[in-house]
Amino acid sequence: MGLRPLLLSLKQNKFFALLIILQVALTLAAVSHSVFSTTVLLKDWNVPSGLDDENLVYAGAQFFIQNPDRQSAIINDLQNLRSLPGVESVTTTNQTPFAAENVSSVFKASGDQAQRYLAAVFEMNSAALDVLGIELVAGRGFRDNEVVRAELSGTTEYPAVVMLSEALAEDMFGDESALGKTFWPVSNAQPAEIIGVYENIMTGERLNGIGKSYNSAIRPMVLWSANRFDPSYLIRTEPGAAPALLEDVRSALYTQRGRYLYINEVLTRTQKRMYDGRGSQSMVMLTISAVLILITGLGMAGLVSFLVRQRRKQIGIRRALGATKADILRYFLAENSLLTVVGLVLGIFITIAIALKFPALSGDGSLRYDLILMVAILLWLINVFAVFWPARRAANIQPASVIG
Amino acid sequence: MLAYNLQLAWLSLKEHPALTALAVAAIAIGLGILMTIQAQSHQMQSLPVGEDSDNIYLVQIDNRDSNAPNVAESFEMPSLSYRDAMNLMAAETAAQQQTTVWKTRGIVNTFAQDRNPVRAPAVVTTREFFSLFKVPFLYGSGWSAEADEQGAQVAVITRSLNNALFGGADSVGQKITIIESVATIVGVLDDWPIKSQFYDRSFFRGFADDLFLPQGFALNMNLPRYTRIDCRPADMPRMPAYRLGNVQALINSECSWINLWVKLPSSEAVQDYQDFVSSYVDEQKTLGRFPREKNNFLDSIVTHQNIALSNDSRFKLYQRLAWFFAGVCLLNAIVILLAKFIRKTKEVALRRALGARRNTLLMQYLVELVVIGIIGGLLGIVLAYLGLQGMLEIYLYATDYMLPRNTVDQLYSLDWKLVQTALLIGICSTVIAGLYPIWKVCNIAPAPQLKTD
Amino acid sequence: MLRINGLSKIYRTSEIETRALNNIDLHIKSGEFISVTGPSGSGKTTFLNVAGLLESFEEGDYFLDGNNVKGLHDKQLSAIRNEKIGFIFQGFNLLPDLPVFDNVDVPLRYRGFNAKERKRRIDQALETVGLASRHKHLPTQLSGGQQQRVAIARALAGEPRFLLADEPTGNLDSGMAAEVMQLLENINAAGTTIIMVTHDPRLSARASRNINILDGRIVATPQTADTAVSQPSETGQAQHAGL
Repeated sequence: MGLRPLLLSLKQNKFFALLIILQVALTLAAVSHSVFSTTVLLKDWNVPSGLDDENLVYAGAQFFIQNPDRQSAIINDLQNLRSLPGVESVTTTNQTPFAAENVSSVFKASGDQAQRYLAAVFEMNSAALDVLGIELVAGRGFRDNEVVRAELSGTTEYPAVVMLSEALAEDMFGDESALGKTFWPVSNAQPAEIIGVYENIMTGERLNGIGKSYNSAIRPMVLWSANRFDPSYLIRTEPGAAPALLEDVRSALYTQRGRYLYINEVLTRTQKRMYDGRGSQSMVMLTISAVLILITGLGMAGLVSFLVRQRRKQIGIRRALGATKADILRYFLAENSLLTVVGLVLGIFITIAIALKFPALSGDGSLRYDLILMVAILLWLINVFAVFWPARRAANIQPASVIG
Repeated sequence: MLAYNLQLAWLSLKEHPALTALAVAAIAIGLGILMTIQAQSHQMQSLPVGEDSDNIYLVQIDNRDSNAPNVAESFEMPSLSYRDAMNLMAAETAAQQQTTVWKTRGIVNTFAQDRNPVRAPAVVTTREFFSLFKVPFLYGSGWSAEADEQGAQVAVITRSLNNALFGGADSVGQKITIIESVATIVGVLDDWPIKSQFYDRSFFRGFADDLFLPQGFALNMNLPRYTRIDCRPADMPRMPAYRLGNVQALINSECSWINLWVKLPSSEAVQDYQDFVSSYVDEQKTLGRFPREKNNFLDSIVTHQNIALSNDSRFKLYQRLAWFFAGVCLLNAIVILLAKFIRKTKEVALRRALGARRNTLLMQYLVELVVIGIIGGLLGIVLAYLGLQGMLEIYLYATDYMLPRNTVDQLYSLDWKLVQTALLIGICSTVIAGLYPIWKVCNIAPAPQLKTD
Repeated sequence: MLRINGLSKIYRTSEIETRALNNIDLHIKSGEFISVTGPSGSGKTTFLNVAGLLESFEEGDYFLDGNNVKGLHDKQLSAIRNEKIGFIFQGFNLLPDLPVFDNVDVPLRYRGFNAKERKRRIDQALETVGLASRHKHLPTQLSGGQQQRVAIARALAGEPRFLLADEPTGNLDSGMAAEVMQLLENINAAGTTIIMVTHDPRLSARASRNINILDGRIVATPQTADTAVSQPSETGQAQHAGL
């Protein structure tokens, strides 16, 4: 089957050919851009968190009255929470995994020239690893006497020790052991000695967005201040007990008057919230793209079935002149593929042009040729599939019934 | 003739049901996608204060330091400092009504022992807020002019906060605590159907403000300033204190944080007010204030809203894609309609031979196109409805179900105007899509088509 | 060359069984010019379709060059049509989108010849029908007689064993019809067997043998197959002279 008869025939149906080419091209461009932005959105989406989120509860209360006794409130809270049936361990914390949006620059040297590393720094007490349910990879955990408990403005003492996540340790020190090294949680402030390296845990959306999901450090400290949010609590529950425990946690924290609860949830929900914005946006894009591909495929099938009917007689003549069924099938597939390929090539140019003109359209302008190629192949396959049925009907036309 | 054309159209539609269905589906899906996005856009553009939206202006004076970048749009320009806002409010001007707005949060409780405090996003403003923005009341009313002057301990709450605190009963005259102060409720708002919070320039959609307080009262309570604060670089380190510390520091600063809205009902009034602000700036410059060249803005709510919408990059992305996708669907429809009408070549030739004029035939097929357009349009409206429901569900999911459905569902709803637009677009696009095919078919010479098959 | 024994073509609906061809016996030898006549609906066209392997048959046998075509697969049937049979239709049946050259090319493509061989055959076939200068024209740009000559060139290009012609002059005026008939006679004189369906007694008179079909049966073969074999060229000449 040569190309020449196809081209000659298309020359007589220019408008059709043009429309199909345009449609394939625009579909490719539209779907490619949805796929681009989806890949950007879904980068590091729902990666393993390292935590059994369903057995962790995050709760926080904030004073609104003037000059409360924050220290004794924290002591009371810890006592009350620990005594709740179903609670295994509790730590104070400044932020929670999955929502640790308070990202700091940390250093392995002092001075203004020191290289900065981005990490979520948690402030917890000596129960940190128990609550998180993670193991040490190296070194040791905090001793209770290493935990600094102080009113923020009144303290000059800062923790002398710190633990790093595996990812941060590797980021900062490479293959070298981080243990015993010095760590500056804030530029030029009091440094701390790294005493432990723990398994990676998810931090939050900000670090996730830059591919550093697991960069974190834990400092042994409990700080309170009128100008700062009071410490919140991370609670490890017995397996499965977390949802039922929320009401008890709420009551326990409300026994202290003069404050309100601003958060009280199982970490599963925190995790969902971390991803749901991007996930839903991707879902919208992909759904529309799928509909578009479906429409293009159906349109192609409709068009070819029209062409088949239009060419019934031609097909009959060809059959009489010795074309096999396979020849007829091939003819339609080849004709369609020819147009599709031209459309795809045009579409690739359009896609690239759009990506260069509107970088924002594809999500930070990441033009990915491999993705365009994948979408192009997908479109081609769908078109072949769409053409196959009407073309097969064409092949089954009885020559005697249409000619004469 | 129309009846005959309609009858022919119906017969023709039934003749090739699969092709007709495909054409209708292509138009309906394209329209559905487009309307899903356009409906949101339309709802977001709906005017919060009706026709008055064009007459209510935000007053902005460039009070930044001399090194600040030039600004061409009001969106980038800060609001007013406390001092300027109060000066402008106190002056005799062309403004028919005016009010200041800034935002905070109150921790609200009742005196009932069994209730725990709730956090309420709050608006600090003056009594004219309610009449200026046409806010509907369920019980009571706004506070008095004296309350504004004296910073009286009064509050207006929304219906939803009233439901939470008082079970929906008429709570006018009831006392609540806000942080540690006691306030008397003077009014309860009815549902206020605004699509976004325009009054603090945030155009935020979601959590509605639940509490409205006189400015004097809020300042006395030293409520935190959870509002847009623009400070000069030298003041930036004090920002946490400006938000959470003693409010006097912020009041004394040159930071801008108060939104002043004025109602100027005519273009003369606008001109008068502009002149007034201009002379005010000149006067203050003689006192050594306003280091930059004069650059005042007086933009209406509509202008601010349009700028806010055009800055919504995610929505713009959706909009671009929607047009693109609708275009592809329309192209698809053209292909199918072309296929459909080319099949009619022989029928056209026959009718021409039987004496039909070309225009008569054009009419006949136009009627058929319009019928396809109407069916496609109606289906498109159904799809748009489903699409909007889907987008609403996705939005609720994406905001973790923390927003009550009834505060956001208006954004995802169709109204008559949209339905009309959808039908019109459906018909127009079908006719446009079908114009070339029917033109081509109707111009075919009758003879050769009849002679051979 | 072509032998048909007891062949029947049966159309069945749920209630009625119609025999379009009923127990046909026929033997055609190489070089014959056969005309098939009969009233409308008698089964002429069905006979031609079956003979051209465009339709299957239910009963009997059909030997082509000694091979029984009964029960062959579509692919084998297509190949036989392509190599051994040339078709000429009343309505010409050219492919409207293709120029003359490419219309003649169609069966050669399916035959799988290389480009050089195809060109040689196309040029030769168009030469034979006298249309060598028109190879770039589209069918619509030609007269009816020219179109039919293109169809004949297309049928000839594959050098078939026999031509099947269905009312080849039915759509032509008398001048063009005479041209086409002359061409067919020349082709037959050159050795190609022709089976022609016609209802024009003047045309059938020019054939070497006439088969008359009535209600799906062959009712008379005026000349026996044996006598016909020796006659084609003579008959052809005689008829030619009579025009």
